[in-house]
Amino acid sequence: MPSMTLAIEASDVRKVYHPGRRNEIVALAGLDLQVRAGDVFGFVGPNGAGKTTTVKILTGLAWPTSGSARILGELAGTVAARTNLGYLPEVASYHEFMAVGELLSVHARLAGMPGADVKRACDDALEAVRLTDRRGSRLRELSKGMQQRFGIAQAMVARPRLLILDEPTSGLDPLSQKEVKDIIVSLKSQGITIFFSSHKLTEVEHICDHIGIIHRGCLLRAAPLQDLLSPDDRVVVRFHAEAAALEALRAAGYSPVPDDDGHRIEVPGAQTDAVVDAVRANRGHLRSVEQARVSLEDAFFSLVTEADAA
Amino acid sequence: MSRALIVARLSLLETARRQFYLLTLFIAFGLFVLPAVVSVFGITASARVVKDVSLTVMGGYAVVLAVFLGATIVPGEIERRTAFPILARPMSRAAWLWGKWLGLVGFVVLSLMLIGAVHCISASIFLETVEWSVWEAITLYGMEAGVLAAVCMWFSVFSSPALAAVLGFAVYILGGLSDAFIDTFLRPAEGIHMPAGVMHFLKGCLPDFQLFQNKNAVVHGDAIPLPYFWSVIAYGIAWIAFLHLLAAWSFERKDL
Repeated sequence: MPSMTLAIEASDVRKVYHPGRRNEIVALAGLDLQVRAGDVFGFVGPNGAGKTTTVKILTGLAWPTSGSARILGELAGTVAARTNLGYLPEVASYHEFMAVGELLSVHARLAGMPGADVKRACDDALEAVRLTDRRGSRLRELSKGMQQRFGIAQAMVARPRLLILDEPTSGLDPLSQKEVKDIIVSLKSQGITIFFSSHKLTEVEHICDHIGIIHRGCLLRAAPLQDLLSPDDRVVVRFHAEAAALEALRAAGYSPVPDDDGHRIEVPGAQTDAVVDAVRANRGHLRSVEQARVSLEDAFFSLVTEADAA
Repeated sequence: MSRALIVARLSLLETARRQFYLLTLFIAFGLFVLPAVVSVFGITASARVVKDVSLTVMGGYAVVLAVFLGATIVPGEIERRTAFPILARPMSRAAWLWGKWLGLVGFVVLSLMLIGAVHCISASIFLETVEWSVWEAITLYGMEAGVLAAVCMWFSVFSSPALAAVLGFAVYILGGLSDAFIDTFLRPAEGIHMPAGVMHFLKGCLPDFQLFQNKNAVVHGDAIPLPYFWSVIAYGIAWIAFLHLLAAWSFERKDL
């Protein structure tokens, strides 16, 4: 993959806390990660897997023990790397005595935005997170969900090319979670690269188009969502059939199982034509032919269990 | 620099939010009524007493603010995580530290200016006397607070706030010892070899806080010579710059 198209590139990143001491913790054990520009990348893993450490290294809040990471071609941790970066921390906290609009303009100016553009950028960011009517409210007057939306606003106010969101829906009620997810989906449509760390698999499945699974400081797999959800080339054929037809199919070596409204047979992709022909030959009514899918949760548990066993 | 000033403003507002201004107002009120109380009791040389007490209180208050704020302002922001979104902005950590220091010293200076102004107004009303030389002493107190805050901030970068405050105060005490004091109390005695030389060496490595304390001269009506005044200001600025370099170096690769 040419380096110019990468928003994030980490090579053999190790992070060891308290090295050489009795309480030594290996948070990252040689992480290799590539995120293409324009992708919405879900970075998932159990608690303690190394997600937040990775995010901190990418944003310059922590330093790798060895290896290197690059943000849009610049070495992570440098001022240049943070120029096009917006960041929402895991447990975000803000200067709560300040007004929403005031603190947002502070962030825009800290990001290096010219003074003339600040007001417009703040207006746009507040509109995007639906907080325009709370511009004059103090941060402490906002609900937790609103504060998280403000967090996204401060991350995107300077129109960064890369947004790093660390557990953006953590601790929110279902309604607020949906609001935050909707905002992220709308950002996705604007072509911003989003690096989205979470342990909520359903959320990641709905939002992201690429997934990286981290466990015990190692990246187990990084792939497009479709590849993870269709782990091998298997096809599901759904159909209606009489009992006799089912018997005939069983006799032919297939294993039809009851489905919602009929039966289905799951076979390798290469056998698709054969099974479809067999169903038709036995006077079955074909309902659908689809690629077999697993949920992200299944894929995740499968990978993590394999890694633990190894 | 502009980003450091934005952080300085945030830091100043944050400090004010912690209600230290109430303490400032309380002290200002106390120093406002002091000349009235002194004049009521007909104390001889009342102007001198008022100046002495007022400058002592101002100096002490500046030290307390410098130690407390200097030791807590950086760890506080990191613990509350308000620093994280800001440090992820395209600014160096050194600039952030510089901004934090500017904000807290700004608060100390504003407090001293308010208390100093109240002292002058009160002295002019109740004692019909104002000596502008108190402002020279107050300015040097401000500079002293700046150096002490930089010491505490440096310690707070790699230790807990409580330890940073204790270490900072120890540096203040040690750096403020007079040579005469060391020679008198730490000289070799019978059977005990007191480390006066070590103390002199240690003191020489630390900022000399005695230089900033010119209360006695002002109280007795002696003007602080301008060359001395400006050389102390330059001395303070040099120490602040050096301490900021140390703090920036210590903080640059710290994991947050």
